[in-house]
Amino acid sequence: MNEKGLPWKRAFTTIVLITLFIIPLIVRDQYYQHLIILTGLSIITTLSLNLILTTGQLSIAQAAFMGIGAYSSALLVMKTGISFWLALPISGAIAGAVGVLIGLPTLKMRGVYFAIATFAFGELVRMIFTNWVSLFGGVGGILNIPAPNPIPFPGGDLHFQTKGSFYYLVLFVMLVTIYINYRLLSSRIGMAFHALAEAELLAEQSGIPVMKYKLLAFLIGSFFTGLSGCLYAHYSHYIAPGFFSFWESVHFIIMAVIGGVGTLGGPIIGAVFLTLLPELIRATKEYEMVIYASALIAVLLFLPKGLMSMLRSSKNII
Amino acid sequence: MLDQLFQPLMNGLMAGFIYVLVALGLTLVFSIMGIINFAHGEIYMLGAFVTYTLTVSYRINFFLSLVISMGAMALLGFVIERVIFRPLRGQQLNILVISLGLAILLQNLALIAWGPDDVSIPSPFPEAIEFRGIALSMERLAAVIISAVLIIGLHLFLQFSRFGQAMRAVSQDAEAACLQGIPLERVESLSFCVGCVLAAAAGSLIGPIFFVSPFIGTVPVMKAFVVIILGGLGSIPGAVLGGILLGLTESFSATFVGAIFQDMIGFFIILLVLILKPSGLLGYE
Amino acid sequence: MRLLEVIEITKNFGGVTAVQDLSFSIEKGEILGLIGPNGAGKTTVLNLTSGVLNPNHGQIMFKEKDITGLKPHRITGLGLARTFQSTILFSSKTALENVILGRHCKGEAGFWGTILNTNFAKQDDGRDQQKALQLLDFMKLAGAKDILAQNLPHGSQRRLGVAIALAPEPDLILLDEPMTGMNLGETAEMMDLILRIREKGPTILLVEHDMKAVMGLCDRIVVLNYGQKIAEGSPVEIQMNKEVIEAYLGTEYELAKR
Repeated sequence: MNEKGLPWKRAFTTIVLITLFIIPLIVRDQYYQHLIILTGLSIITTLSLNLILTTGQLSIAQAAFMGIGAYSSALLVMKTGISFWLALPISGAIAGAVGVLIGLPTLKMRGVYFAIATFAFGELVRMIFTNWVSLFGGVGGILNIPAPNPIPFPGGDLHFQTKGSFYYLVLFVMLVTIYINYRLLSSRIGMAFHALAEAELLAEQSGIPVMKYKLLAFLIGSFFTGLSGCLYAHYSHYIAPGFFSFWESVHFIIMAVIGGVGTLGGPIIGAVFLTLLPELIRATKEYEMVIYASALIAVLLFLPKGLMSMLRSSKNII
Repeated sequence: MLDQLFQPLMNGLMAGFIYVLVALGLTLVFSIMGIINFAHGEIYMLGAFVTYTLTVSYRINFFLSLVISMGAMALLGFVIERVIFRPLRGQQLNILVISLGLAILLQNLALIAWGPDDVSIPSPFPEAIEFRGIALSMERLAAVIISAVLIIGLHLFLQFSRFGQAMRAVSQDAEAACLQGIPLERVESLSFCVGCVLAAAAGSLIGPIFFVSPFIGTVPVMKAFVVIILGGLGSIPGAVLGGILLGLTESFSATFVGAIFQDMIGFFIILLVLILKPSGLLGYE
Repeated sequence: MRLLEVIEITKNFGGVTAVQDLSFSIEKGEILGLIGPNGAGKTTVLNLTSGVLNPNHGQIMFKEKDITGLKPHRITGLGLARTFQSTILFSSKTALENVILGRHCKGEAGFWGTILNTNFAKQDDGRDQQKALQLLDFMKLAGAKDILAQNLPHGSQRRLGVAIALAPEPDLILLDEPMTGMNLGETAEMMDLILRIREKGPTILLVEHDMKAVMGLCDRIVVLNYGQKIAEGSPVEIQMNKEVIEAYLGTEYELAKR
């Protein structure tokens, strides 16, 4: 990897990390804190989708996996009484397991077919959430989901009732997600992901276990997306099937593609841009979505590799 | 007993034929251009609205409005293909996303132009006919008949006209067709327009039966996906078979099993087909 | 030692039998040619051997292990590599990256080691770089190492394809019509290259239409027609074989007389 820019990279990363840590102190407005948290959750999901996209597979089911994570955690905490801190990794694991289950028969399909299969899966999941009323609460969903349990600390317990405190939880998970994605994408496995997306036959022949790697990307992607869903549930205290629909999955796809697929910065930029944009143009009321859609179309026509391509050449992974 | 079966049969056939019309456009575009156009449902919706505006605001005869709407959507399709899809040739993922963006754009433009409320296209027919004690809705019958005419027309076009044969050649092997001197870009443009025409017709025919709103585009395009997967991506007879099958299955299961499962069945079918026989009932490869 | 043994393999596609009860073997260190008119089934044989397709009947033994039905990446890991008839490369990557990708199965760090970038992983990377550069040098592509594969001239692209196959240091390499689209000069270079490859180590199965190359390079030749073996022997024997000559009559090929 590029050794020349290392001191600059280290400085940049440090500055970014410090900024991220002091954000709740700078930004006091509740509404903007809310936006930042949502952006953080979107980043986690979009990075996960990006990993799957890097292997050349389009999944239109990210929102469904968020739903699986959200409902799993909510039900685990509220019906069995276990601590949020246990439910978090378990709900991620459940999402990951479902990912493997659905991935095994579908990942061998060619691009378009796989996309449609995930679309059908996503809709089926949503319908199960809606129609299995006794377990999932039906259209109304689940209310009063508790915040994460306080963590006992010598100086005083850490609570997560406020937005400010919850932000740090989201930040932590987001940083873990970014780190894992960074490690994966910059390793030879990451390079193999790109290779198998570009020329699957050659990749398989070069000793790259194509199916295994596609499953791997899907598993990791689903796991983190599940985590993000769990966090959402315990943040907003209310989940309903409508939150995890096809159009929500579409939003994540748009974020990933607009930001730039295959890079680390792309999904992050995409998530930030597309969470902020609706805010900036909110004042235009009914024209809001028209401007949003037009901006989308414009980026795709003029910056086919996404917003990220404005910043760096596509050779680097960051 | 017979009249118990008749209503679901009629509803199922009608829904089926409409599904076929929408699915045909999608599968045609896929087999010739290799793209899945998510904005297809919004063309269906806009086609319905054009017919609505013509019949209600300008008092134009329904059938004439239908034809004008089809022409208008063909024109819109021509522009869309040129401006939006053509520059992105070869970029599979981007084309998909841009079609999603286009869908959002069209839906919201419609919202601004016509508002969010449901409206209805006045029926060109008098009340329903009574036939041996069964109510026969003229609108439904017209939808079935006109759809059938369009489907047969498309088939004849593809079989016997020069452009139709060119389209079939491109869908089988684009490179070979190009080498034969077939103007690829014009064929693609035409196929896209044909797809839009069919969608516009479908939307307009549904208008007098149910209603029109900016939101009616999402569901038909999803059903169309079920249809073309069931019948086989890129297969026209498959789309016809799949559409009618889906329409009948949904209708009968709604009547005899329960409305909840009506929607779920479609997606279940998709997954089953994709896992067991991805090429669908009649598809190749 | 019989490096590769193909035992009575048959492959059907729907109603068409592409390969029928085919048996042959390759000895370590030799260059075996596989020839036949268009449609004889040569590429199918390669696909069956490299794991892209599974035979309906029969067995394939490699280094005395049964590899029938294994996936291609496993077979490559065992030491059997191949090139492709059409030029398939990782277009958006540089020549060096392409060769490094070919070495994917040679990583020793394991999954977690790779992810966490341990010393083992760094050693892997170092080894990959070194070997890849050596290989590019060997294939006379050293100057192209940082050029994107899609920007290379055709002849270089074909050689890069061979380099990718050689990257995992295979014991046996299947070359699928490497001279396709090459002019006289490039063909001579490729012939020279193939001989140098044999010197370096790998045993070679050569599928090729260019008869001069085949007769000049191969120790033994197997001739296919309509999916069946119609002759096997030294170049001289093959050139004089009546059935072989008949099979090629009607096409524009002439057996080179040396």
